[in-house]
Amino acid sequence: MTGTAPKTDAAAQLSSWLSNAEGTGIVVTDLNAVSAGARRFNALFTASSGGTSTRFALTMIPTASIQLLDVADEAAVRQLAESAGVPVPHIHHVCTDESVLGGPFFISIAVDGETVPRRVLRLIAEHDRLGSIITHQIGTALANLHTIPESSAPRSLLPETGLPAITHALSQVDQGLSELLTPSPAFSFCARWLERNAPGEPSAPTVVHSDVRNGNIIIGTDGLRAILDWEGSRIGDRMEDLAWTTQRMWRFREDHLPIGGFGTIADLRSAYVDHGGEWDEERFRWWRVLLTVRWGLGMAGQSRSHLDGSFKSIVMSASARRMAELEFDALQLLR
Amino acid sequence: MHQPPSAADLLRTVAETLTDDVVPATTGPAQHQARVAANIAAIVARELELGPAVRAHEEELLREIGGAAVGDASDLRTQVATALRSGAADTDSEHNRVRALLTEIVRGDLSIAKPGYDDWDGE
Repeated sequence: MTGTAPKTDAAAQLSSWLSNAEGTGIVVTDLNAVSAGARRFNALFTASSGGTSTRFALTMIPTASIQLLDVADEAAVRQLAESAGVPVPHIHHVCTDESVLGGPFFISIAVDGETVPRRVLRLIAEHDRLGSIITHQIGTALANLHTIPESSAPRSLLPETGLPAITHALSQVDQGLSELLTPSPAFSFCARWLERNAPGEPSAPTVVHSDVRNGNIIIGTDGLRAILDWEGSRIGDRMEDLAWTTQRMWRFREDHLPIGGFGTIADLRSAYVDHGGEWDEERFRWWRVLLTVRWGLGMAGQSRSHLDGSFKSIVMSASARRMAELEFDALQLLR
Repeated sequence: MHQPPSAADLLRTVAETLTDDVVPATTGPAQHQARVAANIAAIVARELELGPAVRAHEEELLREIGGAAVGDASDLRTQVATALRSGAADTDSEHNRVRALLTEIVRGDLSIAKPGYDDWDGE
């Protein structure tokens, strides 16, 4: 994890930067990392000014890492989502000056609650109907998110290939297949099915989050409090967001409840439709297959990065062995 | 020929030591890495014991999918993958037949990589 943490005097740097930005004396204390991945560093801290203290969350993107989305664009998407009625932690500051903390960052309000998947499931198990409530809230949040038209989103959200959503997704599958070190007959079979059953391009592309799942939500006993991790936001097909929530990987062994191990597709669909979302069952199924295959191919890619030395990690070394799980899931969907 | 324990036995001991002793004694990233290492050692132990039979069964199943068209075993997987990608199982009956055989192949891989994953029969 070397190189991903901010400078050791981060609290002092942040104090002086915030004081400058707000034009008043602010002291940062209790700056504690909550997660440090390869791509981002997340921390919580307290900002005190006058007699008041507020808890904030810091998201810093280490300079050396690959940014999926520019911080300013990520912040812009979160603000668009917030205006559309999606629960997101409100962003107070964006800083693109990398010299302050060792990478661009943004500061949002800290939202209390559970994010760790097993704790999320434990809390839901202890409260009758909470899983169904949260599933409805996710469906509602996605319906609201999908009202944001392509035209109002930052241009960097368009696919890098310049291809429309369905064509782009199919090309990624073939790219992934061609990069495999040993062929996968199961995924080749799925790729053919995906090609033959591809829906038309979405008539009205919207902003999609692309990673709404158990693990990227904050919940409490009152339900969904926020959707996190907007770095993968793109312009795309709304049914992709709905399909991704059903991946078996995000159920944490509660396989019978497809939405994050706590909710049903019927609940997700009824909330989505009740809030104006257009649900397309065939398209939903197609995306479920596509995303399963793409994720499996991504697993193989992680192991290749380990093997070729570009990202050495024991965790990633064995990722390719997990591809069989996704092959199984995809074949189950194609019965 | 060396005395037992076998390579698989030794790997299981590595996995047990990591799980029972190293994981409780560590925290944070080191603990996560110890868990992953234990899982990898257990996978390799199963591969040493089950691998040859799983690969032999896979070859039979690939031949059953490919039929008369497939040749040499050395690139059997490539031949079958290429044929399926270009539409060898497009009809409903071929789709169902091939899907079942592919599932059987994947079950073999799962018996090594993640036993029990295929117990769930839903979507």
